[in-house]
Amino acid sequence: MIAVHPVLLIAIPLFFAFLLPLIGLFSKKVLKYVVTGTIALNTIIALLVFREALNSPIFDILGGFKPPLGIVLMVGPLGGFIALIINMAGLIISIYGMEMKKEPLVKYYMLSLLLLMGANGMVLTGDLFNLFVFLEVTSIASYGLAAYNKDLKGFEGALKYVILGSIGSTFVLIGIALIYSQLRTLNMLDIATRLNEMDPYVKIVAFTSLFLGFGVEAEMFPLNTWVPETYDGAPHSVSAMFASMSAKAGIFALARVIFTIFAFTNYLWFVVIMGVLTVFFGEIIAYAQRDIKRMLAYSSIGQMGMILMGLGIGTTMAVEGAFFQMFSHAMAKALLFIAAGYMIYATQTEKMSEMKGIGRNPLIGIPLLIGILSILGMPPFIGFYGKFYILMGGFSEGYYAIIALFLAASLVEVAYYARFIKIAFEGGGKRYPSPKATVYIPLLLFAVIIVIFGVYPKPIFEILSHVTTFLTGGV
Amino acid sequence: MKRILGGVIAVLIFIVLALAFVHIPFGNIDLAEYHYYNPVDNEHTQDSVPQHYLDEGKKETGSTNIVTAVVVDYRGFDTLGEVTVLFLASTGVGSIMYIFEKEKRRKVRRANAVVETASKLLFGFIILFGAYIFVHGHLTPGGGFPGGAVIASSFLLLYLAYPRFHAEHKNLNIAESLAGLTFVGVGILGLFLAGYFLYNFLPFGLPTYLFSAGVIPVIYVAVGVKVGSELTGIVDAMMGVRE
Amino acid sequence: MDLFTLVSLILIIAMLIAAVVAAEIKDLLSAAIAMGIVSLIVSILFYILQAPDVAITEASIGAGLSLAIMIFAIKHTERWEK
Repeated sequence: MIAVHPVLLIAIPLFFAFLLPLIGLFSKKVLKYVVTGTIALNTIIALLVFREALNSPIFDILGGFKPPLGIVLMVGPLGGFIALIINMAGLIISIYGMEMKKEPLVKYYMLSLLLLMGANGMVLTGDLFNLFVFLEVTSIASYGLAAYNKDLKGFEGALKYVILGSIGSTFVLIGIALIYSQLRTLNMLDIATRLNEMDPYVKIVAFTSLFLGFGVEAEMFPLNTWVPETYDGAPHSVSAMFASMSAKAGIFALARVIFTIFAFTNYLWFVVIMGVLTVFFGEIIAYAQRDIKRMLAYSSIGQMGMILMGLGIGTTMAVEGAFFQMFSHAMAKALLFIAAGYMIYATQTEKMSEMKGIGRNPLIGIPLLIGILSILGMPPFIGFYGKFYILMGGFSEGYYAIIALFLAASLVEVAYYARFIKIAFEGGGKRYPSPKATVYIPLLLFAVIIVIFGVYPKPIFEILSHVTTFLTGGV
Repeated sequence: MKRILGGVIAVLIFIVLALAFVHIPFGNIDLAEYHYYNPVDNEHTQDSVPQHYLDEGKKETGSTNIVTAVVVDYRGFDTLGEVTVLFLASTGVGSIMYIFEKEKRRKVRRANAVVETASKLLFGFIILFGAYIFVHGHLTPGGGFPGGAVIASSFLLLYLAYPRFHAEHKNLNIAESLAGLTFVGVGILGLFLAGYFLYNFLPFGLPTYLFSAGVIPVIYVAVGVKVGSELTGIVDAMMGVRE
Repeated sequence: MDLFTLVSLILIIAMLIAAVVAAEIKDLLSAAIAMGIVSLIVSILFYILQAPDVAITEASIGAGLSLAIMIFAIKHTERWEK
């Protein structure tokens, strides 16, 4: 018997999302506390599930039918870890989300709970079609949230996201149909064991379809044109959610398609090249940006490319680096988006050049500096380990040209973040309103996590030692 | 130039996919050769998944309609997800159309008497048909999704015939929430009673009878109400944009 | 050629024509109606392929609700594509 059912991570947000309209009829003031409470409960359950998954993988059978017949949730140590990150980031962002004033609030809270539920489902499920269903849940919740501001920018971003996202979903569906047509099963491990029964041509087409489809959500190079507009037009809390929740769920789904289902090793150079192109274009275009949120969005593309590169290099070290990078990016980018939200609110503009001296208030400045340094990969923060391990993995596999491109892109990254730091800490700016508790508490929480695990990364490395089983097709 | 390039890419994608789809067997094939593997108990079987559904479906779920057995019982969790997708679509439309809701409606021409009378007459019958489809989901073809869609199209008829018709949004939201809570509640109840989420914990009864198949009719009624009210809500939100 | 193949072939060709019309025509209202025709033919095909439940859904959603929603949307912009 299982002590804590992972399905609760999906059922609880869903239950409360359905309950919110009824609560909203009586009182609109309690809504934000209900949402934060729900996500806090979810985080506790995620912690328990994670602790249990560290010992042995959890299989939660749904409906009481044995796996290939019914659906099973499959939580290994890495899945539990990513689920914990997603729920933790969701909890901290929901504190910032309490500040949301724009109507209709009920719908905002429902959509954000369902985004969390979809991301959880994508990470936990062990069934390929179920993965598609949760991909749909996540992406449709994202479309609604991206257009929440109801201005022209929001609509433009959401429309781009809708078009690319639906093309991506269609490709995923085609891939699943091809696999089912050949094997008559949808369970991931069942597919993995019987993969050599498939026709080789169909196998490659199915893999490419799934790869492209999840690539949209994971911000891969030719399919990421939606990212800047969507991140820019969405409310600030929603941009933080995209960076730390749905993008992480997408890249983890991609990792499972590559390693758990197909166990491809000889096609991985393709993934590396896609990854390095993503890094390169993301960072170069980010340098040219003048608006803070667009710059962060392009930087987010670059970071996702690094994760993709780490997955593509495929050695234990590089994949460990990729998972570390997922953790550090989820924390640091959410921090930066929340900080950007405050800065835009305080200066009434998105132009970075007009944000002189905004970081002089220590409540904003210190977390901002920690977040930026972590993104850049400075040693005492968590961002360092991810980048370092990906680089070391690349060296050991002999991808020298790619490492050179990666380092060049990193230099560009340093340049544009340094430019922003210079403006933010410059003297002689105006006096800005001091941040509210709902702004600086999440910032400080993220900063504390970044510093603690940066100084003492041993627990994370213990978790990541399970990468070896993950690479050989384990859960 | 762009058009030609787009056309070339489309043709290429079509060829690649068509070459893959050629390998899909169509029609009557021998299902016995697809033997599945159970990763949880680590056992290989001589059975294929679709064959198992056809042979054992009626016995294991109590549902006469095998499609329903697969949709609601074997893969009920996917159905919960799909219901959520529709819920999200309706919520998203409601959230985007929110600013327009308060605006006053323009005076519009009435439809003629024939249309008004006919839709008034048909409205009840279409609702009855929709309800029939989802109540008998475990016995006859159809189920919650078609039934809900039929109900929503009956409301669409009223919207077309009476320009001033307006379904109360609050009531739609309440129906939507209660139906969703029923679905998740049944799932959680199964978790507590039997240890499996969405477990079919009610007695199966006799096959082909209305009261059979355990929780399947309960879930399908909830899905039907939910889909009906959500699609009506989407139509209502779209109609509300009228300046 | 038996009747089944003949009927499906005619339906598929009609569907292809309607789909091309929907993509190419400059009048958005006609394009929406052509989309409705595609859905209707798909629903008939589903019925022929012995999936009556899917046919009901496709007919009421594809040919009914989504067509109506598209026409409402066209009412708020211009009818002719530029």
